[in-house]
Amino acid sequence: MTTNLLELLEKNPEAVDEDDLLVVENLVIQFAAEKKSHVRAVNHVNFNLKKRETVALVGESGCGKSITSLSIMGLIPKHAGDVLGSIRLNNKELNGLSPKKMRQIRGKEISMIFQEPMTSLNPVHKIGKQIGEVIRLHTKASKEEIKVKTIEMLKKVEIPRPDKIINDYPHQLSGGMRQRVMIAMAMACNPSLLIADEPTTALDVTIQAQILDLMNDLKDQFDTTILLITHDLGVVAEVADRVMVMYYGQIVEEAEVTTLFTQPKHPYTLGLLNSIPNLEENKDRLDPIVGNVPNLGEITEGCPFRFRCQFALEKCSTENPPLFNIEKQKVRCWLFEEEGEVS
Amino acid sequence: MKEELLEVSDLKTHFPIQKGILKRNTGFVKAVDGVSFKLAKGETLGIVGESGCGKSTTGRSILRLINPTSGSVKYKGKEVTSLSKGELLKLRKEMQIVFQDPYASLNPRITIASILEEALSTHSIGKDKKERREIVLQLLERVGLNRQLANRYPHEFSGGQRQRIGIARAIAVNPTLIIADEPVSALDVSIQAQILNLFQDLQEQMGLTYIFIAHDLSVVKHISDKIGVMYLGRMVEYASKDDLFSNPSHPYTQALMSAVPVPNPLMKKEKISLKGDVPNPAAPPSGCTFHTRCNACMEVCKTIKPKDIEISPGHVVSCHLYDSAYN
Repeated sequence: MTTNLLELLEKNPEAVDEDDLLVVENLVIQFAAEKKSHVRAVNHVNFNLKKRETVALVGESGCGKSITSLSIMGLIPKHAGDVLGSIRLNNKELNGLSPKKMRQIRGKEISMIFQEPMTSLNPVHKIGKQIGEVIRLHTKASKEEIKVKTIEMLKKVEIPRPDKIINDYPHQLSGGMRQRVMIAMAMACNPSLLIADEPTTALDVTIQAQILDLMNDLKDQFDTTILLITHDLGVVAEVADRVMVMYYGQIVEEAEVTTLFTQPKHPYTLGLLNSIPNLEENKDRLDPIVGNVPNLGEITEGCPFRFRCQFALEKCSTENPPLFNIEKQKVRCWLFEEEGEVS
Repeated sequence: MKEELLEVSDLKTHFPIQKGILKRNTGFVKAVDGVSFKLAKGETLGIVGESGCGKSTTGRSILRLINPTSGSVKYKGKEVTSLSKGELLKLRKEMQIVFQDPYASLNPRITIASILEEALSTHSIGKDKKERREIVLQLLERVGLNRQLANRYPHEFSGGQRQRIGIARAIAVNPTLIIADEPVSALDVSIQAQILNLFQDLQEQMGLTYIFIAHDLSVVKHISDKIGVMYLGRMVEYASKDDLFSNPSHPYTQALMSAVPVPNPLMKKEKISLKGDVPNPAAPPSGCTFHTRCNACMEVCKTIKPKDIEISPGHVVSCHLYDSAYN
């Protein structure tokens, strides 16, 4: 089911780049459906994350962004769905690793923070114990060292009175503080990749601003690569270096952050940007994308966006476009067939 | 001068905190603590603030879904807070509400046609079943849903479609005022834009007045004529949209505006960061409730509650910085 790394290297030796931290190739995630068929939540996704980069994965609910991150973490159990393709961290294949080996990587090399910090913290254990657990599992530190390190981490995420907070339970903290604890836990073993799945969606704007600042500071301190999953294009514009837009399990556009906002190419990206009210401009009316996100398995051929696309061509209903390269930008749309090269 | 539709003055809603088996009152959560504003027919008032600031309670207190503790709400010159049950039912025909979560606010066991018919029969609209059915079908079309969907159940619809049904139910009785409590915050951006446009279309067609409650400042800015910014139960700034954005005066409004991420990577704006969290509303800080997080805090703010000061016509700020007695 998983491709052997050596085999892959033989086939494609130039795929290894010194700067690449994470390389995802031909990722397909599928779930069993009725009558022995499959639905694909993620359909041939390719991307790479360079060291010290912040990359945003953007899309509406159900487009496959969260499931992509779960597959990187190895959190999709075998009986639940199939993960095909290759996920390599520092040239080491992660897809297909045994649960035991994966546990050594999770929390140490890749960490994740989630949207709802209340449900991702254990309500019956003290904060200090939960952060300490990560350190205990991945290092040989003594009890005393663990406590010192825990307090140091809480200081780094700017929690006041860290020596007192370690004895608090999650419900005693506010939403913003809980998210700081989650970040402290995620960064405790200095991971090279941090996956942040909608880290500020449940927070108020003033708290969101604090958390985004904190993530930026820590990124510089710890030399971490961040994969930020979000639906909020404002957040993307503030923190990301590069953006990937997902729709219906595929990456439909990929570009540097300024390029994406100044020269969006895919009609879906354009639609998303036109849909949001902006504090800096006055629009009388918004220009929404018509219709809804289709259900998985609903569309079997052609471009999945064509039903909502105002530029749809005849070709779009029969053939799904490949990703076209236009300079540094990638776009999956037939409109750019002439301009771009197939990647 | 436009006709004044709603006048809210010094509205207060306090919830008792009860402790022990005897349920003795040990204090109050002052969810709404002195909110005043006026709203003309056909206008949209946006109420914005962070969670726990009392914006939803304000909306519900106006409708008397929660009974306010004190203050007055005048609708077309008539006092709402002292109405009897029967009179209140009549008034509900004119004031309706749209909720945030359209899944929780629609009965999952009955079809959407029945949901809408219920609203009609409660207020005796339509003379028989057949006529009501026809009204229901027209309502569906009006909110952009296909007539053929009338016999489906709420779970068969997507979030955006459900919100359209919630709106159809609110406009079914032909109201004058609609209070929309976070109607788009559970929706994806492309759907959010569709629903915001629907709100605007209906306002034009039916001459509706809205109180639009949201935490997203860009959404509020898009849809409102007037905006009230709330913090810990108080309206700290109230102005027309243009005044508020060209001259944000309360330190909280300024911080709130600078915290909103702008979808433009080329624009790096100066951030005013607020320290800490919103204080516990059961034990709010003394004096100005914002003084613990304020960048312009003075000695007087810690002890004395600020008054509402009109800094220009229609632009009210509740802050000592604009009080000549302290400057």
